[in-house]
Amino acid sequence: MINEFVLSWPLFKYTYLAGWSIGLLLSLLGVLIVARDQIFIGAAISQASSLGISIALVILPFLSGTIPEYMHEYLIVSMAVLFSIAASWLTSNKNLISDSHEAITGFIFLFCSSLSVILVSKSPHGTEEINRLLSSSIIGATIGDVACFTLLFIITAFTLYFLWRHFTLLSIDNEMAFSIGIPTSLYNLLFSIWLGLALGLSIRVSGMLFVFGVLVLPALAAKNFSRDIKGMFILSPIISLISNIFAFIFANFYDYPPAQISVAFLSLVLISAWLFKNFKRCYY
Amino acid sequence: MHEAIISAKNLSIGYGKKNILNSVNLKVRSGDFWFFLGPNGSGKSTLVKSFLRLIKPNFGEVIYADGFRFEKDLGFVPQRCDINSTLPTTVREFISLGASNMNASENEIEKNYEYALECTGISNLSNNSYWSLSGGQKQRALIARTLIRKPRALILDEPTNGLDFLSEDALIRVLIDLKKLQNMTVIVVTHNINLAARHGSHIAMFTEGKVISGPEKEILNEKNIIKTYGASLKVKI
Repeated sequence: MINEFVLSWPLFKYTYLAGWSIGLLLSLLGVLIVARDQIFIGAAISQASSLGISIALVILPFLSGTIPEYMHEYLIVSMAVLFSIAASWLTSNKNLISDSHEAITGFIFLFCSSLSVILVSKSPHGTEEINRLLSSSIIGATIGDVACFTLLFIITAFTLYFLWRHFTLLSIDNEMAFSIGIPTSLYNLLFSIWLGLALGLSIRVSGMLFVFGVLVLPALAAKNFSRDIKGMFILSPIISLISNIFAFIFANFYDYPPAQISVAFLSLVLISAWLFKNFKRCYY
Repeated sequence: MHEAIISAKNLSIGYGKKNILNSVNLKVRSGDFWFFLGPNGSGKSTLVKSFLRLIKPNFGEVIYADGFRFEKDLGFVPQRCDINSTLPTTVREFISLGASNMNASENEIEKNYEYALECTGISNLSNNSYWSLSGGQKQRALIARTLIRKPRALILDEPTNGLDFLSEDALIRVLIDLKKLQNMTVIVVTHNINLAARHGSHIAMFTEGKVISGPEKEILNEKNIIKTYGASLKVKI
């Protein structure tokens, strides 16, 4: 199995590397999402991102001839990122819509899901693109994607290494954070932008299922294995990386889609974590 | 007489333009032990929020003493921490989160952590899970999370709510020691009038948008109790 994986490396190295780096990046951000108890924010932002892509696909035919061909991809990615950031900001801004976080997240998910399909329903190419995003496929990642996600992961890890207390306190007790002088609005805005950027860029490369899976599953598993939140920050990316390495080796050998296998593997890790926690509770 | 570290001067505050409290004048001095008393919705927490700068005054101002660094010197202990109960955390980690934004080295934070544990009497629980603590111990952990910053003044929002007699007593002893040994200013928002009578050096009673405040002996009398609660209550010291 390992040999086949090594042999596939020259052909799929960017796919593997992009998948692992997206996994590392999102599993770190996922710890804060889980700490905030806002699991479905990932699904809502991913759908908002697909709405951005749909709008870009609708606009592009009108722009043909006015902007060069190579700019089309930039426009699609920019729209995906823009809509992700907007959705991320909307879900975290309590002053804008006076309803529960769950209600806003649910609304964004449903609104963006329906509109993204409606917009491209008359275009065979558009429908195909949306279906590809929903079903998830990492194959086709480039060296640029690998560099981009590795850089985003390094920046995220570096920031959390120094400011993990700030972001954790902000996630679990916003009022206390404010009272000790943390500029909570600024930090929340920066987090929304960063989360939107990471999800918006990831969804174009790896699709919604993989993005949502690596965002929440490693952090949820880490929550059950760890004694504290700091442990979750360490364990979540490790779970993501190891699980994705095995998933890609397995998917390559049995010729299964790697994104779906990754999510299935991470789900198994989460089930093991739940069993581990129950076992610990019963016997210790 | 000690200097006033927090003063409310002609303070009118509320949510939006509607005032909940009008023309509040109050001076909290170093080493005072204040109790804020009054029925639900009378504005106790609103005044605390204005001290914490969580709401802006509609009129008047809150003045802090010279050299009083609001973020470091004023500690707030909420009634409870609504942390996601499935989130794993230890007593050590929970308390150390209070050291965010302190510009201190890890060594300094560790020293302050030991100080906070000692003051609250939970040194033996340091490595326990936060979720294994009793209600009273959780409340002391909340106080320790604030004490890690070594504040000069501590504001506690209904800290004894839901605690049994022994836990309440242990918690109040922590506060008395902080006042006696550290000369810390303590402000307690509570419904427990007996507690205020037993331990308060100063009382503020909240009624009909006004605050009657001063030394405990002058304020806690039948006339003010009837004015505040609309009924006569027997105070047990």
